Amino acid sequence: MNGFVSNNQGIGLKALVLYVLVFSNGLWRKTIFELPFAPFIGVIDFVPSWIYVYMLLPTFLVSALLVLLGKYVSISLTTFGLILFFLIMSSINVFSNSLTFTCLVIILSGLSLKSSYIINIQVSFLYIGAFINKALDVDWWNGRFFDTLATLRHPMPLFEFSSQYFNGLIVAQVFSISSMFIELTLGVLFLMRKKIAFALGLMFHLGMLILTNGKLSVLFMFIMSATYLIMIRDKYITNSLRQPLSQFLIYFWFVSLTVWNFRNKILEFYILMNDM
Amino acid sequence: MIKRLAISIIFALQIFFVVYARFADEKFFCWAPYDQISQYKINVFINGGKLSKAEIYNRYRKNPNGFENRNIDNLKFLLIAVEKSTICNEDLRVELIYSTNKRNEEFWILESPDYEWICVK
Repeated sequence: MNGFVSNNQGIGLKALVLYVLVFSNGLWRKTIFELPFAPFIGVIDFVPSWIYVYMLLPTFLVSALLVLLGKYVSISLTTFGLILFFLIMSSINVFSNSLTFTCLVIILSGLSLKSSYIINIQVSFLYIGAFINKALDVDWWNGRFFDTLATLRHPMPLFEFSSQYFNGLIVAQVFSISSMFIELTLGVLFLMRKKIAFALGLMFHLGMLILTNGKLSVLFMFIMSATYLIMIRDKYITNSLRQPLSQFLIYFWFVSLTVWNFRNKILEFYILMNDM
Repeated sequence: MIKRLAISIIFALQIFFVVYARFADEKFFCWAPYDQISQYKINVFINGGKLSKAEIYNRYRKNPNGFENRNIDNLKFLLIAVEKSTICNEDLRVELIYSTNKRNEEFWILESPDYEWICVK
């Protein structure tokens, strides 16, 4: 198991580290050339850029390498996570919910590699926090948000089709209110360590991908798949996941999401260049 | 013991930020992704001259027009933070034109008369 408690925990944590290194919207470039830039805490503005380039970045990369090799996993994860947190605090532009969530899962895993329940609590916080923010916004109840998402931001063919037969805002209300309550349910189920939460969570995130034609939250699907792998401790499931076919499917899943994300990025870049 | 304390602090801070977000305009660290969608455009004028899209991007490292998938106040927070950290001796006017969840367009202006930042909502 190479320093990890289980094989699936190792795959999940390595996937999260790779996500940070490969997909986090130019974190490398920002660390080398831009940081600090508009930090959350004013005093970080006084940190000289050579600290980022010659101290933080090498330590960050060495700890990532150690995690990927399965050596000194606990300390490497904590170091990697803490440096990542400092990079997030160094610029509002680096901040994203996905990156912050990943950062916390990595730090918490480093602090308690043996207890998966800590990650359950973190995932529960994420879903319940999302539910609270949405539930307190009137546009999530009247369908305005989802209507904007489905018609302007990420046009959804299924939404447009159903809007032909029903009032568009009512369809949007059904989607947004059910999303909120699925998130609340997921938060509670993960807190109660119910296995069904994994299936419901995967279906929920997969549903979002299908609805948006694979445009929304590809990376979030990647992150949540990895986090779910970290949380699984059931012996029967962990043994099943060690089988060659399961291993092949897990890697195939992550590679597919990676390829799909690159496809989306190329399209976004093309649109941006045309716009500039 | 130290590890438990660190874990407790991490969770306590998250609860704090979810509550804090209820009283603040901007929404960071409170698990609010895609809580609203705003279509926006940023115009910047320095000494009366309008900056190009590329110049605006270089100034804020943010696309001058597009979608903000989080609270629009997060974008205002960025614009203010960048201008605060810039030693500015020029006449600056930043305009943010946005429409949140397909509502009517709103204007938000950041100006710098006598180096004093005034935000007009």
